[in-house]
Amino acid sequence: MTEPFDSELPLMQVKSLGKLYARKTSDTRRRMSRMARNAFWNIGKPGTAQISGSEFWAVQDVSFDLKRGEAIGIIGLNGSGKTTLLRILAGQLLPDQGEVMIRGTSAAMIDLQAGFQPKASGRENIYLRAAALGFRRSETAARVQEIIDFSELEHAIDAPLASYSSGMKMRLAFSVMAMVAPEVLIIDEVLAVGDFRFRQKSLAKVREMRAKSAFVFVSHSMGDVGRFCDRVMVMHKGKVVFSGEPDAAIAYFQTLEQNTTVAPEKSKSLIPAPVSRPDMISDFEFEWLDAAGSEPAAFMEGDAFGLRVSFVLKYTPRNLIVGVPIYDADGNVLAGLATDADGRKLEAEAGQRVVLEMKASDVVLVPGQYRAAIGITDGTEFMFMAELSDFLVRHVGRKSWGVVSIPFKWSYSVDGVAKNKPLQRTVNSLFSKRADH
Amino acid sequence: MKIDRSERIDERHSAVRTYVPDARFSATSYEAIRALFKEVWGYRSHVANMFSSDFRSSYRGTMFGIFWNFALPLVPLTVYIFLVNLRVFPRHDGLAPAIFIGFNVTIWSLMTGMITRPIQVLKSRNKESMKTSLPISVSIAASFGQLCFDTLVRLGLLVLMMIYFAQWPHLNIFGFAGALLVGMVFSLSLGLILAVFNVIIPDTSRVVTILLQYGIFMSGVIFPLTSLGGLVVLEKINPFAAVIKSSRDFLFTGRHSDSIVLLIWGGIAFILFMIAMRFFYVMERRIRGID
Repeated sequence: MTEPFDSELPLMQVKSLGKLYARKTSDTRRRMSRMARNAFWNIGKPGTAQISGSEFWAVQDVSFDLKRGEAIGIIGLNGSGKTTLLRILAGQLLPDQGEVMIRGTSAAMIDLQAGFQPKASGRENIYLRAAALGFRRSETAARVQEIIDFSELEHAIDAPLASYSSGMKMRLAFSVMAMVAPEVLIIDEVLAVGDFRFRQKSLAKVREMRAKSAFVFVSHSMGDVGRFCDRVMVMHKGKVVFSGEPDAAIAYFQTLEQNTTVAPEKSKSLIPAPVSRPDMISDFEFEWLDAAGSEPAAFMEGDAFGLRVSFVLKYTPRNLIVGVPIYDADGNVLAGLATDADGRKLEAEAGQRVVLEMKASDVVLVPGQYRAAIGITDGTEFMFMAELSDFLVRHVGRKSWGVVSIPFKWSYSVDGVAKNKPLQRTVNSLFSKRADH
Repeated sequence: MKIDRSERIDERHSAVRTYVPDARFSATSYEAIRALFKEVWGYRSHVANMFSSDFRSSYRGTMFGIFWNFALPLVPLTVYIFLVNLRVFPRHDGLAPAIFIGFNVTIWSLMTGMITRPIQVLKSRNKESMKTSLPISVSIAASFGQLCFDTLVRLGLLVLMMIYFAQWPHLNIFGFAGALLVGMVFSLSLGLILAVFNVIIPDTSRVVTILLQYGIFMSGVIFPLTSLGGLVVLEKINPFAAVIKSSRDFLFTGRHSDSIVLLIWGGIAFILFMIAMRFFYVMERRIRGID
């Protein structure tokens, strides 16, 4: 039994929140049948949720308070329960345990497509979204031009929403949210959509809203989370495993990320299907190499790394090429390391064992789990294609953002050369350049 | 100050909202009805926009445009009129066959539409509704807009036929409205209950479809049940037959010979309505997102 809430101030109070999901639909239906029977005959209540069959806690025992002006970040690996938690906070799903109390108006930006009418125009959708947030048509009409101006969709505002790109939809959705200024705003990753400039504009608007509102913010951008949030919760397998200062939470998350294997179904889907033609290639072997030339458990950020492969040719190719694509956890191709990158041609004949060694001077990837594949082709024809083992890049103590870790060092002076010698470019020149475009 | 937990009935725009596992379970039928109506009223812009969007999308891209929105609701009606005129079905003495069929099919379509539309809406929009805070009741209300339009189109044709056949009504407005209300309340209640059950047991919609296919012949829609001999009892025990006969009598003769049957069905419809509204209200958030 949870204790009564104070009415003192927090705009959002979350206590021991939990949500059950089932891997099998039959288990979900069984639970719903029980609930429907109770609801129909008005007997009993859901009571304490007990796990049965394939059920599991998608969110478990999450508690926090959120005051006006505060922003709480939620980070975690894919499938850690972040979005389910947000949906409960937004009132889209009911919890199976615990409770959420919200004081004042709230709005959620969780799914850009949701709640939009694709066949209606952008303008009509402004009215719809605002109506869903409790605004009368006349109230929305008074702000509609402001919303259109902010979204920068003047020319497309009367076109059907179905013709919008995801970036345009995000701009429209965000503009409505920003203008109605709810007291609690729940944002899931959506600010990652759209061009850089609008993203900055949105973040600036969010900062402007901070005095009056409270935010729950989910993002995979550690930079945004670190800069924007006062507190950050790290979720793992439905539970909050860390809660505290953004820097500490991000460091904890990166450790967690390094020690967790990538969900295979997501990244594998973008890696080409394996090809094996024993009449062309046989006895394929490979190993990752660290700076010392031995296979490491993990690469260190900034260290040298390499790959050695060996195989036997069963026929004489006319144009032998070996390539190694590197993928991130989401399956995006980050780099392609091919033998013909510098125009070099490999000469080998049938019956020969080919041994190749690739060396890279620095690991320029940010810490995390990566996947790689190898393709051996004769010109454009694949002779062999296989996924190599995952590899891990560990951090070396400094913070990293984005995808690549460029070796860099800042130096500074407070009374240096810039004072006497103006630099080549000014802010004005940058803005005039943008205006020209 | 402590927050009174009895406030937990979810009202989107109230100052304090609480989401708990047993939200809405403690609601009475009256509270549920009030909350559902308030919910639909609060989202009336959405209802209007969804209706107009669905209305326009149903003819978008066609050569004859909006003509189809007027023509299609009349198709079942004209088919049955055609068959009766071919004497495929027995005829009804007293009213012109076209008027008899036209009226019955209009009321039948209205009642069955109020059953099938909640089922269809919940089936097609349940997954989407999980991603929004938009109540499913709003989508159902929007779908009733199209049903109302179809009914009005059919009634329009009926009026034209009455003028053509010079068949003037002797309308008992209270009796007619009462019979219609009983039919609509009964159908809506059944539709809401079955819509929820269809999410849990997907066979429900298929069973409903089969029953309604047979039901049209067992409800005195195409031909009078008196022509079925012993099955004439269906006029009393089949709510569709009872409502159609009563409303037809109140419209064309101004009186009704078996008001007790209508009153009994009125009582049943009221009880079912009280159960259905609470049941739907309690389950609405629970069934969201279930495929």
